Amino acid sequence: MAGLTCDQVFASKFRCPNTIAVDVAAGIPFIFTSSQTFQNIPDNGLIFTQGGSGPGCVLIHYSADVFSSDTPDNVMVVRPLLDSATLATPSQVVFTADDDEDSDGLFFRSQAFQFLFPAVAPGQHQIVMQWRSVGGTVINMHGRTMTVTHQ
Amino acid sequence: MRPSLRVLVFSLSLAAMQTTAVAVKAAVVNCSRLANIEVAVALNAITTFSQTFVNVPDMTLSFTQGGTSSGCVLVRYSAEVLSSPGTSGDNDQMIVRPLLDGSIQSVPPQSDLTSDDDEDHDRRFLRAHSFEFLFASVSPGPHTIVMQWRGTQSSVMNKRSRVTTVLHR
Repeated sequence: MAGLTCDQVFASKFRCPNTIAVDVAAGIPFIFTSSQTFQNIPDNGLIFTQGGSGPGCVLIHYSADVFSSDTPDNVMVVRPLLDSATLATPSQVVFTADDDEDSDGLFFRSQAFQFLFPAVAPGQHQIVMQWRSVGGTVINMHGRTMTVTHQ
Repeated sequence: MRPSLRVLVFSLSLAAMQTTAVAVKAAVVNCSRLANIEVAVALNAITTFSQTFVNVPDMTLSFTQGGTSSGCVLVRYSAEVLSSPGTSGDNDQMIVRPLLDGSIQSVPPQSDLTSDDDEDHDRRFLRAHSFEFLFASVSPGPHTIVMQWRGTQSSVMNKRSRVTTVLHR
């Protein structure tokens, strides 16, 4: 591993038995931000109780109608955050970017991704989706759904 | 216990779409007791120029289907992707599919995960895409799922973070 970053080499597989519960947080209202630091996405946070007798998987599936910006080359990054501190694998993704290459201000598109927390202890936890604008120009979101599948 | 998943499957005939009558096949499949999830995650950048299906690196998963009779397996695939313009020009498509046990195709059999991503030719940016595929009748016992991809032209296909999840009994 010496001399290599995680992004260059990381690949892994996980077994998630007894992952039987699903919690969902969905929002509809139009929202936007120009924050270059991560901000909570309104309506996409929830508290869930991880079951079982030992740590287990929590799988996040996130879907949203998004539009990066009418400013060229802006990038929208999203991530889930567990208990205000724990990052998933992958930790974040480019959810959408440079959506308006003909500069007509159109259109929203649905994007989706899934993230894994492989070892979450039994008990109550908080999960929230966050987003940020890499370039600092406005990024936009409409309908959005976060599903949390857990023990 | 998770409620049964009811998977609505549509199959559109492209030929029919070009006529006034659109042929639609639909089915609803009950997928109960999908309590087990296998996950493959990879974060490194990969590319292909292949126009025939090749395996996506690190996206192969082995699992054991439980139960006493055949049942559903649901594959959900997510990736940061970009279809770049290449020597053959614009409008390349990135096609992905899961393959069960080396030969069995899902419903739908493949997806246009992304296409024509770089209309201003600046080779930016990757974007997150996701799709779900169903194997409606998988027998109990050991199986292998592999994700595959290809381009429709000779342009380069790029991926970075990618996640395959297999939900099964």
